[in-house]
Amino acid sequence: MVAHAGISGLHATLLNERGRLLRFLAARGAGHEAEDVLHDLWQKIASAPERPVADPVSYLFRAAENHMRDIRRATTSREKRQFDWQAMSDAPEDTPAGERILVAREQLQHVQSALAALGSRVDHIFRRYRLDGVGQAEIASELGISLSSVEKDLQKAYRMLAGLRMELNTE
Amino acid sequence: MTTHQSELIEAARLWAMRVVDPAFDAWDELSAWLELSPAHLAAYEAAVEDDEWVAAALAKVDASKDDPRRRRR
Repeated sequence: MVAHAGISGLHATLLNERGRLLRFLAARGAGHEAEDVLHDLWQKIASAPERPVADPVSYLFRAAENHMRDIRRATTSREKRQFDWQAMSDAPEDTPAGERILVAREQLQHVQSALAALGSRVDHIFRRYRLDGVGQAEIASELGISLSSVEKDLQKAYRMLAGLRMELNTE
Repeated sequence: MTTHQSELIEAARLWAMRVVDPAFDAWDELSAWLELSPAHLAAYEAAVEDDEWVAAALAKVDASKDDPRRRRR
């Protein structure tokens, strides 16, 4: 592998921030395996194609958060597969693709109307934040409103959508 | 633990929401909050799942239709 400033810079940051990263990983679910998880995480970062990194510290923490999400996702789907396997004897075949598309479309309509019900500003702010990936401070300046107004609007949307998901799951 | 369950869910949701911000930098505060109780991690993971569920639901249309608002930037 070619050595480049980007990766060695990131590695220097990793060494500097090792304590904070380990603490985060342990708290974030890695527990006593935080050291191993950090090692795996670094392998993943080092083998990925290089991208410009504006803020190495924030990049590493973000990567750590995403890594824990990946681990969790893998565990959950493994458990689900196991469950499906056990249930298979008298269960129908996998849900047909057409039905899955219908469900997805229905969920989308519920999400869209829940957001619309909160008003166009909340709807706009939520989409800007969650879909366009624009930060709260930037949204506040785009709209000429305070940061706390943006956060309150986002909270409204998040609260409503979590409630919606629970409703749909228990239907 | 004295924190009421609904307050915990609310706090976890706020963290899951803040973490989405590309400028989020309160990682030590998040660590400290998670360390307070194992229930915090469970609540945080549930909140992250809610957030990802919504994003996935919305992303499906966005992929299928070209949003002119976004092209303008």
